[in-house]
Amino acid sequence: MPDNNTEQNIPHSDRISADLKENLAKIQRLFTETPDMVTRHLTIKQSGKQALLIYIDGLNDKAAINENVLRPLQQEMGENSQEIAVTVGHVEHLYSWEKAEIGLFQGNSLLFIDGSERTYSLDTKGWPQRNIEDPQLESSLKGAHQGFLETGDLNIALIRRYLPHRGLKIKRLMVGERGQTTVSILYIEDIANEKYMAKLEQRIRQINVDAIINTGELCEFIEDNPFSLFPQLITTERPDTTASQLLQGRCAVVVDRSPNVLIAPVTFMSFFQNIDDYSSRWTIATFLRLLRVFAFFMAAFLPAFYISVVSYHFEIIPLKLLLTLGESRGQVPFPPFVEAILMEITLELLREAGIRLPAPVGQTVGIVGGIVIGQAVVQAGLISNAMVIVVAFTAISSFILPNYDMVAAVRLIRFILMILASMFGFVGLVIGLMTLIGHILSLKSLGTAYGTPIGPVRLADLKDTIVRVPLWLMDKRPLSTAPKQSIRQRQSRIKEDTE
Amino acid sequence: MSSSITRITLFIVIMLLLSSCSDQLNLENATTPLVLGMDLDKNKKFHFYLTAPVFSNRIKKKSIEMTGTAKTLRQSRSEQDAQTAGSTQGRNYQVILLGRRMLNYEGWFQMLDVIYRDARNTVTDRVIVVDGSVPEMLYLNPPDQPMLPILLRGMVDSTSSHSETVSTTAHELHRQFLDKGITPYFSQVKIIGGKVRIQGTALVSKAGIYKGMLDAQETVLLRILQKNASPGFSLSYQLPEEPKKSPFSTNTVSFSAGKVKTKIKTSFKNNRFKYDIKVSMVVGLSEHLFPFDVFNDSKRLEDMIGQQVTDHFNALIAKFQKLKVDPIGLGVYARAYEYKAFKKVEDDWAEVLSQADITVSAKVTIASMGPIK
Repeated sequence: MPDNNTEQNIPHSDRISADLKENLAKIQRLFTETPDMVTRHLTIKQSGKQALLIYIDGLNDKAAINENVLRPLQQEMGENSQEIAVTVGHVEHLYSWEKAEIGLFQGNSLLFIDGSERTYSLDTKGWPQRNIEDPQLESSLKGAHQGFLETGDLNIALIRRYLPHRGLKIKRLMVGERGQTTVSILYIEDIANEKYMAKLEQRIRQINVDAIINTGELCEFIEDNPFSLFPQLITTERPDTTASQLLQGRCAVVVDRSPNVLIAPVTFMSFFQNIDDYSSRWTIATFLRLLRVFAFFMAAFLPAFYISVVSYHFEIIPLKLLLTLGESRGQVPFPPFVEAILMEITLELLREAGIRLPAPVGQTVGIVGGIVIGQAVVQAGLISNAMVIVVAFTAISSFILPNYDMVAAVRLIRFILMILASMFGFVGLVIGLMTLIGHILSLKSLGTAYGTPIGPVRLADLKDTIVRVPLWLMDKRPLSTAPKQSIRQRQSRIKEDTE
Repeated sequence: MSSSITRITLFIVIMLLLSSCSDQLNLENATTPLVLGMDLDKNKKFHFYLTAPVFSNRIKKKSIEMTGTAKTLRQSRSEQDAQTAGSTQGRNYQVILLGRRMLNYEGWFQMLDVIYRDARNTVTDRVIVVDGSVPEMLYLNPPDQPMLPILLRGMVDSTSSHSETVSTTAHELHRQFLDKGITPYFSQVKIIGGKVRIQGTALVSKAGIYKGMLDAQETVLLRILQKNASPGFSLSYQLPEEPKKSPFSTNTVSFSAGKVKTKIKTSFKNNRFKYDIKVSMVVGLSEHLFPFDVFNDSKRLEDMIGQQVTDHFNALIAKFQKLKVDPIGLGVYARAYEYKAFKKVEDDWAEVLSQADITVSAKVTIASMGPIK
């Protein structure tokens, strides 16, 4: 059994006493108003000594405590040895109250034995937990149907199922003064570049807060540019995505109690990739990638483009479209910008309303939104048909993007571009586009360029960017992650003539 | 890095704010005339005419016509604004209609100056001459036809796509007037029986005086000589060698050409320009109303058709020389191959060309005869 803390370093006040009564008094002093703490006095049959078992109700597996701790201690005979006769998987000897307390609140049970100046921390963890389900935000057609859970260790286990190799290393850190969140950095030792590791660890160690409730919070503390609209780290709820990213030389951060795993470093184009791309045939995967890039531009630029065309540059509208547009615009009492803002805000309202409502009520939102926006507004002559089409097209385009954070960024960019377009027409649009590109190129994700492989150009990485070439042609890991070992595969396909 | 981009962005935005959004003009606030018409009345007074679409569901008539007199087009702007709710913009002209009467006087082209000089105005509008009066056409508004601009633009574009008229844009017209080696040409329409019809191609002299007109077949030939005939055009000829059963023209052969090659050889001898033009066509027969064994005897038919085509080409050239126009742009060839000789006469090119020695010979190869015998 591990004796992993040396007694010398522990200050006297923090040291566990050999006297059981003294320990009990200390417990009663430390844990006041803690009704969910269970204190159980018992006599160990083996040695005849008095003992005290404490645990927090609800964080423990009751069956395990009964079967594997209480029953052996109270019934086993055997020789009077130093070892205690419990049958739990993991037993730790602790000498300090501080460590014991952490263990207690993580779901371990503590066993104090009279005459022994240590406590046995028994692993009887077992808290309420939901079943493994299909990921909600990143559901996939052909990929696995297992999403992450709220237990860090289980999440790591889910990842390990894909990478059963000792090369997968885990660095464990504790974050939060009160929350004591276990944050694990996963990486594959002989692939991942250690500079990312070091940077991640340094940034996570810097965090000094009460608690990290969610991966999103951690993200905000370690992001390179927190003022940018763009997400610079990916959070995923899919173990297969995580495994795939680890194999590409990236690091994953598993935060206990959060069903999202953070991937770093990433590039702008990573947000257009989806695990299904690799399980579908490469032709359709390439088509979908192109579609997503197109959808990104549509979602960001279409309303702005519409505004600038209708308010400034209607000479570029083909004649027949001009007549149709003019007719539909003619009855609208608002200028195009106001019209567009009204509709976009309505869309955002509908979207938010739909998220929080329970499914049966959610349908009502759809119906109300569909009828009010699709029909009544146009019939009342408040909004033009063309604008409704533009907004609908924008919404559909934004739903195509596979990453929620990127969709959120696009939503905001859309509004900025709409303002620019309403003030300066195409000039504003072009300025907006240039600033956007400049900004994306200037961003960093964990110190690496966010814009690769497009800027700076990495030709080899383009194989898995806007297009996805057949898997057997991607024989190198992405250069953008600067992997230690870059060969991903060798000749994995039999050539017909060499057969 | 990122902060410098922020600074540059801020700078650009501030610079842009200086120009502000004074430029803004919403579609529904603008009146966008689609037709610009110009004509002279009986007293030689310049009139302008405009047709603009009306964007409203409550008004039955879909367009509004404006008219007035002014010294120039730009001066007419205030007159235009006075007649409509919106600010009038020349950005969406689809066609420019010229009255036939205007073309009797030099200098009408200078009147178009504002179209080119004010970059806001479009130059992709089609120039069309109206044989008759412009207001008559503008106020025609036949109930069974689309709006005049859509109708005219559609007619010109579709007929010119099978080479039966030309589609001259305002921009192209500018080139035709300024290039000394060519004379201008544009399509011509007329109201016949209460309907708008494309008549053919109008030819004008360098100064802009109306000279004559080409019909559909002649226009096809013109475009072959310009090396500008789009494949698929169709030609019909009556062969005098074949029997004719009146009242039907059963001696007619029609064909559509696929590949057309035009070679123009230019030389200058004895103080005269000499052109040797060779046209070879690969054609598919689309009808021949007389019995003929094309399969075994195609050579004879090819020769007969070739003779017809050659004759018509030469008649066309004779017409050009008589009218003293050069819509083919033979002057451009002269400038390219005989620069010195051309340079001396360039200001008087049409006159010189009418003295030139031009021969055309056409060769026809039949590639397909259709699925029946």
